[in-house]
Parts: sequence; structure tokens; C-alpha cells
Amino acid sequence: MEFKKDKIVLDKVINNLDKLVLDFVRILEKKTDYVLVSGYVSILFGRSRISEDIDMFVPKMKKPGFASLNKSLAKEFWCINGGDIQELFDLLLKKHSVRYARKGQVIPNIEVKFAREPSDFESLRGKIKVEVGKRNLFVSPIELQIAYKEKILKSPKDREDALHLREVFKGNISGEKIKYYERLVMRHD
Amino acid sequence: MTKENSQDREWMVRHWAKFIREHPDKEWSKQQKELINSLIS
Repeated sequence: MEFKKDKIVLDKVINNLDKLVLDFVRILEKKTDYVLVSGYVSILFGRSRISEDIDMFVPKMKKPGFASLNKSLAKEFWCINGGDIQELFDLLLKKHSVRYARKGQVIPNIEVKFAREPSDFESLRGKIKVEVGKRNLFVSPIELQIAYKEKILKSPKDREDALHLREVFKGNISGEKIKYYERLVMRHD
Repeated sequence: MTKENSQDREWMVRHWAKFIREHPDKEWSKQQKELINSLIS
């Protein structure tokens, strides 16, 4: 793992969860900005666990934009929520998510949400580029993930994810930033 | 989860993270791949 000024370079052996994310993002990034958050961020950086869903935020988009994205994704993935484009779009607008999986599968799936909370926008604004082989992925600031998992989610799994990130990024994360994000996420909890 | 179990798990998380910090990406990620690919096709 190499920490550069504008990116983190990962020379990892790609696993099937990474491959799912890379395949999904290859289509999605042609249509919209995005940021990966929560458990997959820890897994990308080596956490020894699996996840049945991968969470990401995208900026709020209009229905034609979402319809175009959904159509592109449908070439390789299916939306497990079902319903027509209006129903899916309504789900996103009502602060829910829509989930996509590889055709013929249900898990793992990718959970897409419109950014709506201050911490969601902060994830998008401060996203970090991670070079994985010849591809790039964008993940939430590590300090924000630690703060969110320790102060909001707080399950044993989330605390371990946060600890993993603290340990792997030792010397490369800012304690001040973690405190700043703790205040941000707790103010809007 | 008992306190002892929680402490054991925390120790393991730290130990694995240390392994990641101290070894090339290819080395730890090969092990991670075996775990994940055994559960996800």
C-alpha cells in the first residue's frame, strides 16, 4: 500500500468482491460521480471478512439521468428491488436505496443511495482515489469512516472495521480530522 | 460477546492489520482472496 499525495496505490490480488465493485463502477462512472462507503472500504484495505452488500452514494440526479444509468447497468446487472423506473426513482427520492446484483445472483449486491446527509456530501466532496491495478476506485475519507463506525453504527463488526482502518492507516490519518468528523456525524444523528 | 472474546477479536484485528502494514499487498491480499472467494463466486 503506497500513500501518495493525491491517491493510495494498492497492488492487491483482486478478489471476487473487488471484481464485482470494479465491474459495477466501470459502468456507473460513465454516468455519475460516486463514493464507496462503510464495510467495503475496510474490506478493500484488507479487512478479513465478507459483506453481502456494498454501499455507495451518488449525487442526486434527475429521472432521465437515473433511467440512463439504470439502462446501462442492466446490461450486466439486475435491480433486485424490481419495479419500473418510476418506482425505482421514487425509492431513491424517499431516502431509500436501490440494489443491483450480477444477473442470476442476489448476494452480494451493491446498494446505491442518493447523498442527502452532511456526512454523505462530505464523503463525496473529500473522496479518496484508490488505484487498484490499472483502475481507480473512489472511497470516503478514512477518518470519516472511522468516526461514523465508532460514533453512529457502533456494532462489534463496525468497531472492528474502524479499528482495522485505524491500524492499517496508522501514521497516515489525522486525529484532528477524526474529531471533526465525529462532531459532524453526531450533530446530524 | 464476552469481554474475553471481544479482546481476542480485537487482538486479531490488530495483528492482521500489522501484517498488512508490514507485508507487500500481494501477500496479504492473496490470503484475503482465498477467504472471500470461498464464499462468493
